This record gives sequence, structure tokens and C-alpha cells, in this order.
Amino acid sequence: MEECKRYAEENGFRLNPEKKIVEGNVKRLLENEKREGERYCPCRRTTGDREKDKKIICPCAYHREEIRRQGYCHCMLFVK
Amino acid sequence: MSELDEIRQKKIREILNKRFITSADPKMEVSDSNFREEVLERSKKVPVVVDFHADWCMPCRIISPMLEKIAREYGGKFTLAKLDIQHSPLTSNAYNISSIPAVKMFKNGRVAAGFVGAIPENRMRAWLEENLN
Repeated sequence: MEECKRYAEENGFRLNPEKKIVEGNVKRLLENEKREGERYCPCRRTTGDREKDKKIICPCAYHREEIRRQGYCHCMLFVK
Repeated sequence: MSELDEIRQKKIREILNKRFITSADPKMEVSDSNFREEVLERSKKVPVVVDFHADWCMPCRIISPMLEKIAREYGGKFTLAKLDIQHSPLTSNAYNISSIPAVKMFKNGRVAAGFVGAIPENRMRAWLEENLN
């Protein structure tokens, strides 16, 4: 969780103030890492193509645009 | 309490119970095995809104109660169905569910509309109004 917090702060956003959401997401990220070898976004499905799936390793390829557009990333881990 | 009051109270309780039972859980769980019958076939009579979700998905936990509340309010104008993508990979693949929550409205056996992600309740209501009619 500290790692996510530091990443957020270094990039001009922050962790969701809803602790349960952050904890749930971090838990799943770590489970994904253990099971699939990478911290895939909890709210996106892997395709099985490791090259394509690189885009959904947290922090994913879409989070900056999502935070800019709607104020939070898709899985709501990071907020503006 | 007069006999008439007792009868009135009893009747009120019956009505409230009936409403509670029918509206307490407005959703149904669907899966790969019953999707055709419960969603596609049913949608030929009434629109079916399917909430593709997973237990671990935090935004799913936000929109699910919203959808259930709205479904209760709409009282049968549409049917709300929930599909766990982990347990129903065939249907999830068939509808290209790449991220969740994904909500799709089925009409006449086909996808008529949909959205992805946790959207605010007012936008969800606007989406329903726009697509139910």
C-alpha cells in the first residue's frame, strides 16, 4: 500500500480516501501477482497474451487519462 | 384497539410484508448455464439489465447496490441480473467483457446499450431512462 501511495504522490494524484477500496484493490493486486506473476488491475480481465496484458499491469496504461477525465482510475485506487 | 383497528393493522402488515418480500431482492443471479433462458429469452418480454461483476472488484461493490435500489423503484420495468465473470467465463467472453463493472441492457435477445465502470447514480438513471424506452 505504501508503494501505491508513494507512486500516487509522485505523480500528482493520491490514493482513494476510502480505505476499504484501497485495501480491496491492493489485496487483489497481490493475489494476481502471486497467481499470474504480475499485478494486473483487479477490474480488468487478462487476455492470456502477455504482451497485450502488459497494459493492464497496475498502474495501468489508462490510469492517467481516466484520472484526468473522471477524477479516478477505473478500479478507483487512484483519485485526483 | 377495536376489532376494526386490528383488521386494519393486520392488513397493513400483510401489504408491507408482501411489498418487502417482492422488492427486497430485485435481482437474480445468472450464469453460463442459464444465461440464454434467463436473459436472452426473458429480454424478449422485458428488458434485462445484466451487471457483470466479480467479488474482488471494488467499483462493482459501489454500483451493485445502486442498481438494486433503482430496480426496486422501477418495480418490474426491467429485470436486474447479476453475472459473476469468474464463474461464467463463456458468457463474459461472448460479450467481450474486458473490464468490470460492465452493465449491459438486453432487449429482444440482443445487447441494446451498456456502460463500463462506476458511474454516478444520476448518470445511471439517465442511462436507464434513455434506453428503457
